[in-house]
Amino acid sequence: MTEELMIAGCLKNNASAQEALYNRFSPRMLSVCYRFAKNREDAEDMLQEGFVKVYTQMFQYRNEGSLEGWIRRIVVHTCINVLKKNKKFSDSLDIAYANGLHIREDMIPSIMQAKQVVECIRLLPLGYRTVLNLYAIEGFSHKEIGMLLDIEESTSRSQYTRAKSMLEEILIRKKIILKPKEKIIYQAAVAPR
Amino acid sequence: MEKRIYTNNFERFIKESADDFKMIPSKRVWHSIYNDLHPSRKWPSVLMCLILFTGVLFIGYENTDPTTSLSSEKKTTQNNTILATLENKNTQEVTSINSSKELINNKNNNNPTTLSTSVASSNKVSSPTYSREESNVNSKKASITSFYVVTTNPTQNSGAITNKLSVTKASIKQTDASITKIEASSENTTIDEFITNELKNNNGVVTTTKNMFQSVVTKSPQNENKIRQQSKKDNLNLAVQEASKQKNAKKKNWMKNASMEFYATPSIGYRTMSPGPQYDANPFLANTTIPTIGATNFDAANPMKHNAALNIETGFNIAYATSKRVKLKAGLQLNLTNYGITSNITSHPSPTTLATINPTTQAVEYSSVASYIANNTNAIDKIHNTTYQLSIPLGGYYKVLDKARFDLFVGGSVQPTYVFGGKPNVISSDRKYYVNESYLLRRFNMNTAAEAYINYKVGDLNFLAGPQFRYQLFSTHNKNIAVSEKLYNIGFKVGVSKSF
Repeated sequence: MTEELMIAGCLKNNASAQEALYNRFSPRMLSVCYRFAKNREDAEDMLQEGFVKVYTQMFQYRNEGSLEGWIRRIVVHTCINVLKKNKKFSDSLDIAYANGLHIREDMIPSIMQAKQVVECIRLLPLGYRTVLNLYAIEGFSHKEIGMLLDIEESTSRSQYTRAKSMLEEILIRKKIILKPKEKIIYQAAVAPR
Repeated sequence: MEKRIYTNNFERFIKESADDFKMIPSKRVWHSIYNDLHPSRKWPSVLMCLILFTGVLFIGYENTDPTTSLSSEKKTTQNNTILATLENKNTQEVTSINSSKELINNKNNNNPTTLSTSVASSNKVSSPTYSREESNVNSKKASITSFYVVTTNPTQNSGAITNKLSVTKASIKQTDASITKIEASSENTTIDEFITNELKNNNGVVTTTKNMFQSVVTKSPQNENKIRQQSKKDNLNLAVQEASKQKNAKKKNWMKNASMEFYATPSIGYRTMSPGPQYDANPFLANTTIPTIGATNFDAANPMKHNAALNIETGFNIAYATSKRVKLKAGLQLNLTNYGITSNITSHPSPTTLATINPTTQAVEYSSVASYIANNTNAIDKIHNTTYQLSIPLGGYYKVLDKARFDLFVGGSVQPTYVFGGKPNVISSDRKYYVNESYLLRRFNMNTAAEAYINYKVGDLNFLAGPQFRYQLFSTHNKNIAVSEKLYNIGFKVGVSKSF
């Protein structure tokens, strides 16, 4: 079913079109929710809420960008709204909150790379993780993140810097990425003579 | 290895990795969304709830039924008594003669015989009436009910009141519907004398034979017309009652042999898969374009990774016992079939082909389709090949073991099935993709099932549990699809049944 047909069907509240749209985008959207959520169940709740919004607001889609991008934006906003309902979330946006946290080696999963990276992101404290998700993956600016999370732009920047450094540390420890020094040695080894 | 190199573009690496990651949401999410969007059309889980709710209601109703039956039987008995008391419309008082009751017993059978007296007033003259009701409840002759009605008509003769006695017997044979009525009357016999004579003549025992009454009483010409009229009326009443009784008896016999059964069978389901019967050439090749016909190694290229998954079926049956050991059954059943496929969900459609059979030429052809599911045995995504079916199980059971508390049954059934939904996930001809379109489902199918179960009796209820095997006779896919996939599952049936 083409995107146009799916959109037209969804506007008519056609169940087959809605299901086709869901089948096409839900796996990717669930992975988006999973990065924000505490666990899979919470992620599925977010996904459900997000898709209901997608269907009910379909008339607002103007065919100006990609449909996936539009759905993704709705899902991300839904995730943020759900997180903001939780008091712990606003606490977690405090920089001092995550300073004392350490990542244990055995907490890092070792499955496939994409999943590994996502699981490593999920090991970050909630505040760090949210900012990193929004900035590095979803492409929001620090200004937008500040507005979205009701924090200062500078707070978003510092949250992101710390999140990035913590994630790098985890990824290096898990050998998903190499240390800068190892990179130089590797590049020298593979460089053409 | 390339990705493991540390790059300055850390964000890009994170984004690419995160975008590569996909997860399959559970079915619950779509069902919840569907129910939110279409509140008037709830998901089939509502149907399951309805079946269970109906089951609970039925069991509740059946558990209260004995009281109703009892009261109806009481009513019948009352009616019999009313029919038996002739000419007693002005009955004021009913007294039991317990002493006589103790004496009057039927030697031939041990069933209770009651004797009661009614004092009726007519023209300021006391007119006592005796009636005796006899019924054989437990024996094979339980269907025969006899009434002995002793009617007294007080007459004044030379200043003294004498009682004229008439005795009426009505026997109802429920088996052959014949109604016999014996009439007799005695003159100048007082009530006490009648009882005394009766007891004396029969050595303290009242027998229920026609001869006995004929020997005790003689016809009374005064009352003959009256009794005849009354007899006609009685005959009519009894005939009506008999017809109604027979109808009830027939109904009860049918219901006694019938029972209703509610059950659920969680099972592990999988599939057999092969090219279709017309598919003499093998299209399952690792070919990027149109597959070559003529290859022989079916499983060589692009292996598939499928695994068994949880299935469930639930429904109800009405079973009818045709003999002590054989039961026939028919019912309605909802099946959820399912097995897992390891694959990759892609974000973009990929062109592929499906091997189809031309209905006229029976030749294998290839149809171009788009797919979002890549066959990848190393993937972490898991999709499910699912169908939702409604079937009518028709079959029977044979009782292998009959013990006091439990029975062992073996049985089988055929199940005409309608597939009302599902995701077929048909493998493409090059085995690189799965195509998931609802039109690929075969809507009408046929299942067979074999089962054995133990039936454990607890009061009025029977609890049943045992293994079951179910096999789908036709392919899950549309008959034009060359790949034939037949589902089977092995499960454990649990249920409860209750006789009507």
